[in-house]
Amino acid sequence: MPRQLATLATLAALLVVFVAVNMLSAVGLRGARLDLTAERLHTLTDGARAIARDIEEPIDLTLYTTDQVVVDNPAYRALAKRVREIIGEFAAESRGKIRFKVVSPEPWSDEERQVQDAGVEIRPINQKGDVLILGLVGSNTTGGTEVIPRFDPGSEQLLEYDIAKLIYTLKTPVKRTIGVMASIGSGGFDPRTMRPTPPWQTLDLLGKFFERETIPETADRIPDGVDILLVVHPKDLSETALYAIDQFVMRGGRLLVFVDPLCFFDPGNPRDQFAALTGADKASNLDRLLNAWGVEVTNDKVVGDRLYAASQPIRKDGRLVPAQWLPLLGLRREALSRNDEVSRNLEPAIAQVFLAGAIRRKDDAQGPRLTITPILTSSDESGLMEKMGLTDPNTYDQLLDTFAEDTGGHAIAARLTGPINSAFPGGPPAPAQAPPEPAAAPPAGHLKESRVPANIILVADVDMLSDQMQVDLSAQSVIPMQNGNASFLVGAIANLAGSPELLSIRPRGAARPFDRVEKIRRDAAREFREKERKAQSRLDEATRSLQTAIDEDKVKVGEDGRIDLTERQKERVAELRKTVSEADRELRAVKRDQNRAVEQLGSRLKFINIALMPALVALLAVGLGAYRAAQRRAERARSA
Amino acid sequence: MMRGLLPVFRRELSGYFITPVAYVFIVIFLILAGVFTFQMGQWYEANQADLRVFFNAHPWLYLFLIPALSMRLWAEERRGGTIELLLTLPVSRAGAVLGKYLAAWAFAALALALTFPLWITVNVLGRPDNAAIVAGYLGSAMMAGGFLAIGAAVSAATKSQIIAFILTVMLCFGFLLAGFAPVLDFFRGWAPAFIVDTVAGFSFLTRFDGIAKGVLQLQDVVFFGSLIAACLAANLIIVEAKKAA
Repeated sequence: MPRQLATLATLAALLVVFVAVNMLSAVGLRGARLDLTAERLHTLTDGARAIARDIEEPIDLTLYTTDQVVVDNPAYRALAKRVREIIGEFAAESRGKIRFKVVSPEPWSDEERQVQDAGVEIRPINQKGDVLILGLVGSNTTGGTEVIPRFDPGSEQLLEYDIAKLIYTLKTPVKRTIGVMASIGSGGFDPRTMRPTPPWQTLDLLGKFFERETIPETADRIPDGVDILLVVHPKDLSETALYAIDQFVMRGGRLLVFVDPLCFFDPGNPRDQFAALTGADKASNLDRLLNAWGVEVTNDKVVGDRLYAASQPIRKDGRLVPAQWLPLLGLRREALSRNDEVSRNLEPAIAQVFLAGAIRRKDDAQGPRLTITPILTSSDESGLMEKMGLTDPNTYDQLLDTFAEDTGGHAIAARLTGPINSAFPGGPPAPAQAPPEPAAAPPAGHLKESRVPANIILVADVDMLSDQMQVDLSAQSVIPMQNGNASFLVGAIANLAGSPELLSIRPRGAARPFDRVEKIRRDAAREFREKERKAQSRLDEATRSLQTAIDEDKVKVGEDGRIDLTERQKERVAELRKTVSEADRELRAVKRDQNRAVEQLGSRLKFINIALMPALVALLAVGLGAYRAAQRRAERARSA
Repeated sequence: MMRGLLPVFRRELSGYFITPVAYVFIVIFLILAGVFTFQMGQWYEANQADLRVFFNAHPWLYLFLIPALSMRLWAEERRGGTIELLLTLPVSRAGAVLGKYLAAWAFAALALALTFPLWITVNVLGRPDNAAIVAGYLGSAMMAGGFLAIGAAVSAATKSQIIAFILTVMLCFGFLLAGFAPVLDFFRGWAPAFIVDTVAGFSFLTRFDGIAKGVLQLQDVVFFGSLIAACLAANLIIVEAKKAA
């Protein structure tokens, strides 16, 4: 008995030691970890840590989440856990300045009501009345609140950024000042109509979100109060103005630039016949600066895209006929970088650009170059077209035949980052006229290099901001074109308004789709569109020949009001019907083949992974068993 | 002190492959891993080049398969009386305990390693984060070690394999779900908060989830290491006690 007791006591002691070790390690070894993932996904970035560390007044963060449903939905469970972890890490880093709590409101409770009032989304998920809540509310001591209404499983890469931004906004509740230097769209006077023109709505909208300051194109210095400089359609800026922009960037100012090889809505110079043809008077660039920083925008070519081309009517022989406008792109989901806040927040999720340039690296630049991260990219069925002759959309139907795709997509909007040198290595440019008193004001502190890494968003299209792009191009009606261009502009500025730490938080953990499967899908989609185009032209052909038959043979109307078709007309109608049904069948077949190819690959892999290895092991077992049995028989035979 | 570790290890490991049981075990493990990943986890349809779905299935696979592996470790020896024989051999008790355990672990690791076609598959299909996958495999092996150690100690305490199996499954289930509401509610009523937190920290699922994501926390390594050490010590104590009784 005492012996057994001793054993039990030892076992109990063992349990105590085990528990104690783990309790100690939970405290003592907190944070000792190795993030093995390639992008260090589970470690706060330095920028995020810096934001958390430098909070002065306490910030309260409350995460609202429904327990029940989140538990039943694995995707949300994982997301809720991750959100909690990240906020926990921010809180730990803030040394108590972030007070974090998690609240799970009971269904139908008052609390649930309050959640909604606070701005957090409550989404019903089934007929039973279950709801899903996963949102964050933050507040500071001065009564400011910020809300993330909901987290979505698709947005995990930006979690850290979103939360950091919320914290950052709460700790620095200052409205940012934006300087606007625009050669177009800021309102003015139209010499042709002799009437004042209103500013573009997109640019006008900015005043709602930011302090706005107009900067003349002749400015020789960007005022110190300006946090972000928006440059729209810079045409013929003077060296002095360019220098002002350069130094603004060197000082750490954020720059958002819209340039365009061909701005369709720029009235240009109507008296210049040659320019009207080439569009030379409708172009803008910032080459003087960008080229020095290793970036260029095509000046004589614009991006055309078969996949994203929008369909718009053109005037043909006095009639309006639909046509694909190759240079008018509706950049949908795949074209928008999911990893960039600017394009992610587009509402609706489509950006429309017209006659846009392509942003590229310029290899022969001296000194450090900017890193280009595309935000809007054309599809891999896009290519560059000479801008010559594109000023008249009524000729766009002829583009389709000669259009040549090139490899990969073109960046139409991009984020440019990195340390750079001034594009004016020799200091400020000499003034056009000698100043009256030369030595009076020496150039105050010329900066040779950027104080902090530059942060620039460059967009190679100006048209996207114009009012005309917000309405239907052809009809001039006021039906808004459903695009997110305005939110693109606001999003880009809001993004640039963040602190350097905030901007340094780049999304990580991008989705890693199966390249193989994607390729099958892409190829099939391409084939589908190819066939579709051919079918369409056959259809057009059949329609035309029917039309000729109708035009040439008189249509007879019978006494009972019925229309009697001629033999030829009947033939053509039958032909048209046949063409339609054939095209339909063909296109369905392509879709079917695509799905089949993907499924086949899937079931092959399933077979290999579920059955093959077990079968091999079983075979090995049977083989070994048979071999051993044979050996035993042989042995027995020998001993017998 | 560890005398006989190597011979015991060898005898045990080769013992697995003489009977068909081992092959059946591997075949079932591989098929279930595949089914969990492809059929239930919809791995292919999810179109993501990682193995999270696959690893997420492991705790549940181990819950039943590892006890089946560990139940015979000692219970069978005791039932057949071969334990007396084993302990009269020039083999230290610790060596026997560790040797048997390591053999079972090596066997489980082999079964795990045979899932490598999936690793090849994911690399053919896309560009996965292979470091995270290695972490997942390491974490999985560590978790299997934890399950096995519990099973070994339980197996030493009983003569019946069936009882050993059921007890092990129950214990492991407790460890899996520690950290989940039903288990925590059981403690919440009477125990102070730090106890509840500690119990929550014993959750295999939470620990493994972190490792499978690619984050190796020292705490987790300490947890699995101390669990294995404690269970093996208990195993040794029980074997000693039974021997003396």
